[in-house]
Amino acid sequence: MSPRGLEPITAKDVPETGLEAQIREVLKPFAGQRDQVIPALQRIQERLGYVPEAAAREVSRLLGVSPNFVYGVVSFYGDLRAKPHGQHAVRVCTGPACHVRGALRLLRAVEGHLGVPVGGTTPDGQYFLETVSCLGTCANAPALAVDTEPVGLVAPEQVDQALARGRPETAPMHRGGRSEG
Amino acid sequence: MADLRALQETAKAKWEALEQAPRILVGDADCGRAQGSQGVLSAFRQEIERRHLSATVMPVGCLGLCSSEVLVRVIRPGKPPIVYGSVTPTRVPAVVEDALTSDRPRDMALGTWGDSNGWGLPNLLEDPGLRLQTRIATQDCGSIDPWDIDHYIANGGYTGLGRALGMTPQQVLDEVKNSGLRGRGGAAFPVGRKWEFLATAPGPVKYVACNAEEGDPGAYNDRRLMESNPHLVLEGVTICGYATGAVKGFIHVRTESALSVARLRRALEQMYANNLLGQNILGSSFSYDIEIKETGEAYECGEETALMESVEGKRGFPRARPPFPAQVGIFGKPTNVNNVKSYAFAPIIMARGAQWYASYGTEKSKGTILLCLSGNIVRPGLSEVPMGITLRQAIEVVGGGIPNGKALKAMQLGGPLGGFLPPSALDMVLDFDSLAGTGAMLGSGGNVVLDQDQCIVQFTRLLTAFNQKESCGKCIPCRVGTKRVLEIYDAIVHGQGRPEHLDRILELAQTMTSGSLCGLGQLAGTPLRASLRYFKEEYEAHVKDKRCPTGQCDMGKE
Repeated sequence: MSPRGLEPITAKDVPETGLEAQIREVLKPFAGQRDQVIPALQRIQERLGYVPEAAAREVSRLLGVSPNFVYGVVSFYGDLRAKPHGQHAVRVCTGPACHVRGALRLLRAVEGHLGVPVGGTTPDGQYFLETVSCLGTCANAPALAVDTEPVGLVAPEQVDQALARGRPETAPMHRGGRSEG
Repeated sequence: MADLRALQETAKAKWEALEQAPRILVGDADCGRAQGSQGVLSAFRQEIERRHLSATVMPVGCLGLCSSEVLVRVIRPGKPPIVYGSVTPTRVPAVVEDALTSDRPRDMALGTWGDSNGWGLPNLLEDPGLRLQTRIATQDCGSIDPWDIDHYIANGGYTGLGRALGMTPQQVLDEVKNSGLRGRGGAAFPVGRKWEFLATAPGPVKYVACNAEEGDPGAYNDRRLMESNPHLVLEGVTICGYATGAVKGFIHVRTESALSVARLRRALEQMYANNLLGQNILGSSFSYDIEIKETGEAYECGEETALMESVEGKRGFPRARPPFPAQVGIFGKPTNVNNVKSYAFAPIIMARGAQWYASYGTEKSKGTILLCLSGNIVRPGLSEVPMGITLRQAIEVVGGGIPNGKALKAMQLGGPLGGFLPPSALDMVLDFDSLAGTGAMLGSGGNVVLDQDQCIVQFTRLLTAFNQKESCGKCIPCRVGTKRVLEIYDAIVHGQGRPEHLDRILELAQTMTSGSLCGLGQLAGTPLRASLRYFKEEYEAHVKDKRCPTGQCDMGKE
């Protein structure tokens, strides 16, 4: 019986051996380091799109904390997900600066364009829609982000252009990646 | 300091070579990225190559004109820099023509950065809003490539650290104390004194933590600094390490602030490669490490004790104080926690001296504010202004006033745990202490401007929803209090409010203030009290007349 919120792996997921191997590869650098639970979970999520139970258990085993501890961290931090979502996050800012510049209207337009409400995933599995409290691009409000790539001054009639501009290929690599720009 | 001199010579030679050819600087902090700076950079590179021109195209950080991004500055040797605003990839060929190949720039430029040399273009530095700015922490933002340590060093970077290493730690502490620098995270505690708590704490293991969480909606100065000049922040964290005897610094930053993280990580690699971190820094006996400690999305982790829990890999619950972080901190070791901006001023104070820094600002609030204007304002964006300017100057001169001929209704300062101010407060002074008693505070520099068409009740509901969502849950008064307050606001904005709700809001605010362990719960009542104080009639229209004066609330629906 799995804890509420952590789905058991089913046949529609990646085959068992492949998944376990991926998980172990991702978690190897964090072995024995309890303070790295958050980055470990984030790297898992980057690779698999969410934190499946098998990964949570492996984090627990490799980093030396209880499965309950891991579940506590996954449920606390808003960007960690225990369930599969679409491939890319469309994150519409509904913070105060965006709010006074029409964020709600924009959100409705994005919902209409994607055909899903906030929290939903598009049928093709490409995008899931969420709201965020501040992208830090308040000068370009109203703003949204596709994953971590911000797109500002988005008009409700131009949602498709905005989503195209936020393509992940232009997102900066972190962990000392290549020179961008 | 022979090692530093060698670095400076190499860097200066590189910078001087750069200055010999035309340069095209493209605003590539998130304010620029949000407007497509990556595409503009590519377009410039292609156009330069196509025309076989000699010019360096480089990304830079935030120039302080965020509402005109993508900003491009073209600098030809011996000529004043020409600034173009709202540049898109399709406009790039015309900009290249105008700035580089024609005899003089025409009208498409915003102006020049300095005297326009008879070109008839406006001198942007004469613009009242820009003249009011005093760019200290942001002095290199928009001028240097944040990916290149040599640019930072050539323009004076690491001079502060070099000077600090030639002094005793106590002398460094005295310099920071004498500068009058106060913390920029919201509490405004004197930074030098705070560092001294760590310096006098027992070792051998002590830590420095940089709070780069920046969860306050409407505040983006920390991220802009990290994106535009990561080395400034890291140098400050290193100087603190030397002054306090710490062995390691942690930069606690959200993974979702991806550009900040990428630039910090690159800068960190460069520091290690140049003996600015690690063993025996710059040939001294001081050894120090820095770790970029990424965290998830949780506003509470911006609270200094919850931050430490997050660094330890746990859920971000606050701890009781005492003991304070300087006594028991990360992994139980003495720790100093300060905001990004508080560290960012340290290298400049060490390089230019405490007296120089203290010559800016007011008697009790030295230095500058990194002001984040947003909302219903003509020129939203980041500006660095001296402490002591008035709110009127911030809104009208820097911000350019309210767009579309509308009237100012309110200014929301200090984030979702901050207060509101009405237009009657415009002549009040912006510093740490002058707003005491008004129900508002400077906080971390955010100022969201509301015009006459914004419903204060709806807006306060938004802040409450944020506080409720972000409540960590540890304390019942905050966990349940924010929920109950939100329920009341939901009722009010849907026409179900009652007059007794207004008293109830204040009661709940009081309960949260008295019963919560950390600032989130304690201050969740601030925006409630402030909005009721200044906008009582608007609330009464909602709860007595079931009417929303601005029409923003759907008063009839559930």
